Amino acid sequence: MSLRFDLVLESAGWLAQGLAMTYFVALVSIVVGLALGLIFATARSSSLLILRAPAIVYINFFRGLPLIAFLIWLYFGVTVAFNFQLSALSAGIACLSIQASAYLAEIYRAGLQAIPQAQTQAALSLGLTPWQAFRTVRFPQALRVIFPAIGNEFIGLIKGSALVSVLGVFELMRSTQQRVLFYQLPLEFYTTAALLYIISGIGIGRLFLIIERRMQT
Amino acid sequence: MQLSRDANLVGYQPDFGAVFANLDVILAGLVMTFVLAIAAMFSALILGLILALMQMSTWRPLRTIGVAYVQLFRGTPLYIYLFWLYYSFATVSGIRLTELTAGIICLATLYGAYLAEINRGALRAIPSTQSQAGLALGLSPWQNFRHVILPQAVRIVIPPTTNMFAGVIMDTSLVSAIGVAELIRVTRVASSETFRPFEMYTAAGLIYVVVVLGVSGLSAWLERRLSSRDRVALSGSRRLRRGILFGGLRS
Repeated sequence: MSLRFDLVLESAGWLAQGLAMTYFVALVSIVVGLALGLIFATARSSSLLILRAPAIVYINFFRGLPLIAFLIWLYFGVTVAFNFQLSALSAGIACLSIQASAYLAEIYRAGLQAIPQAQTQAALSLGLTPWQAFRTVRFPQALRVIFPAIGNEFIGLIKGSALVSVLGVFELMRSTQQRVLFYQLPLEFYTTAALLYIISGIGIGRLFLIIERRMQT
Repeated sequence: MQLSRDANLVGYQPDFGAVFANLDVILAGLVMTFVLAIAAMFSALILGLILALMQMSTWRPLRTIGVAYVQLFRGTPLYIYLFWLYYSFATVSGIRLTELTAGIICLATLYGAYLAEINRGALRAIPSTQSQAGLALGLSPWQNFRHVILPQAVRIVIPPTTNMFAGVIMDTSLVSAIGVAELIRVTRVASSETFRPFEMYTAAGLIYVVVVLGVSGLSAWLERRLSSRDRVALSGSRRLRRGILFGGLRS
């Protein structure tokens, strides 16, 4: 058996294109997820039941729904029932960001809980408004606590984005599958793709570690 | 999509009767989901313990293998690993794995790495004075591990491990991609037969949510029970660690 990694190298352009799409999907999803997650984390910690209850349902529901079930439900099910069209890319990003927001909401909440109440009290007694106290005192500290967890979530999204290939988005998994079908070389192409995912994960982990160290000094 | 534009004029009439008509198929899929999850979890538990002990071994080569395995598998997406194993294994070894075997092997080897991290954390959390006291009382190293360290570590490990089982159940959905007739696969087939994708996928999603929330609810309950005995409050940082674990494991 001879390995044909030379053909993998010849397809470098395809794989690079796929990898770029993978990063794009993950990046958009983490940004949307971070924004949505903060909203739901705030609602989840609210003293008003009318805000808290829907947030609890949302967070738990999307943490319990497998991504693949969510993807096919939205793309093949909901679009038929409610009669609208959605591109595979936007459906994929929507699912990934919604799921990420549910996980991130829990991460935010834990981070905010880790900041002592005395911090807020001190800020308020200095004359800051509750919003200012949150924005300039509690939130920056919480962000520092949860930063590694955000990095983990981002790596999770890179891995999760492989599932978006089910809908036909041309990301790394999809481009690899097409090359596998073309050359009939599953071992070479899947190994390369797996390595690209692993290296991306390690790289992002390192990047977050560097930023984390910067933030502490 | 042209058709559905016309359908908009009459409005969509959801018909969940299609779900009930295919209830036997869906239940068979759910059973397969559980078979996959339980077989994978059982193997992963054994693998996770071996890997954790390997990582903590004083013998360097063993430790290196353990650490490398865990690092490698924690970075691999399950989805690509499934395809890699299922399609390349035959190329390399000449043995053709069945879809079910390939699915179980993938889930077990991947979750073995996740569980190893939990086990290692738990074994580290037992103060070394416990081990010293055991040895001072004349227990052999094995007796010490078996009767002093392990019972304490198990108590720490149970809630996060139960949570991992919820993760395994969710991840069995990916095994549908290589053709195992679990819940996702059967609903996809059923929805193309009944032309009721919305109803079918809604039902499948709800089943997953109920099962997964049930298992992670059990985990939370176990955590409360086991920690109240130790009078350890569930602190923010502890919950955060759980969030990291859960967030890190997706697909």
